[in-house]
Amino acid sequence: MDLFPPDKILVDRVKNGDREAFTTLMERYQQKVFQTSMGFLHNQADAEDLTQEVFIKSYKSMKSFRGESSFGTWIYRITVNKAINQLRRNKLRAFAGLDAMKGEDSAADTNADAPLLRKEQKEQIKDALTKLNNAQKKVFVLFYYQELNLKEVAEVLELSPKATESLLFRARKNLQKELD
Amino acid sequence: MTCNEFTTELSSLKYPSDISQEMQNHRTTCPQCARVYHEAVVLMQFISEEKTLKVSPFLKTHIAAKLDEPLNTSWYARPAILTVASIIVFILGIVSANILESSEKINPMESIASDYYFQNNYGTQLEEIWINTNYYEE
Ligand SMILES: [Zn+2]
Repeated sequence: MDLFPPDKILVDRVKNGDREAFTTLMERYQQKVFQTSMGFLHNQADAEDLTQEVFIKSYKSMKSFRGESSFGTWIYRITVNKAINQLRRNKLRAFAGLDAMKGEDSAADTNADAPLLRKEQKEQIKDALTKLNNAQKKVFVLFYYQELNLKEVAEVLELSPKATESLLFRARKNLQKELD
Repeated sequence: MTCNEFTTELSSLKYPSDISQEMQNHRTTCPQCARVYHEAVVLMQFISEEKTLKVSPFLKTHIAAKLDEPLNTSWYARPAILTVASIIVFILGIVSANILESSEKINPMESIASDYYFQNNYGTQLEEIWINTNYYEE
């Protein structure tokens, strides 16, 4: 038996009802999905909730995954879309004043382990990242948090590499302006 | 090298540490670009701090437990939310009707006074309003 079966084989097994195969896929991708979620949400608990949602969604939708892209590309695409939806919901909650307490908690939990950057510096960076438009945000997170190269980012977002490069440049330029 | 060239080139690099010798020279002589460079370093530091966070080892188990639940539970929850919302609206309706009803039972003396106030006629019609109401002290 293959100890490190490729994703494609695991996906086929999941489609045939093999739950263990899905656990292996989760083990392979959970940290990456979580890291990407952090790039959008900047809060550990929210990022874990999103990671959970992404895997549940991918499991339920596995039958519709035709394997035209790799499993990785597909799951990052789900992550990015779900993260953007979550940000929209967060905006609505903030607008309704539901997140006042939560914001304080999140600032505390991400600061606890690594007090290398000051709290206000972190808040300023989070603000600047939040202000990027969705397209720039997606490219930025996949490139810096997921460490995908431009071609891979382009594939996940179904963009041309040129457009991806341009979005990344504009994201960096906007962040530069916001942080100055 | 101009400041504009510096900031544009900095935005094109993957990491601020990748700057060329020319950019390095400009940075040491230009406080404004030195600050922009510093902010870029801080941004990268922020990202690497967030990337060091590890996903909970229990997450896998949580997910596995939820795989058999129907997808989009929020859709299943929606009728429940609608029911609760309808009940709240219904109760609010009864409460507000009671308030309105009780406000209709306002003391006629008060209504005379308010009529007087809003008529803006400073006493000329007060007696008339008084006469035209059906309220008399018993
Ligand atoms: Zn300069």
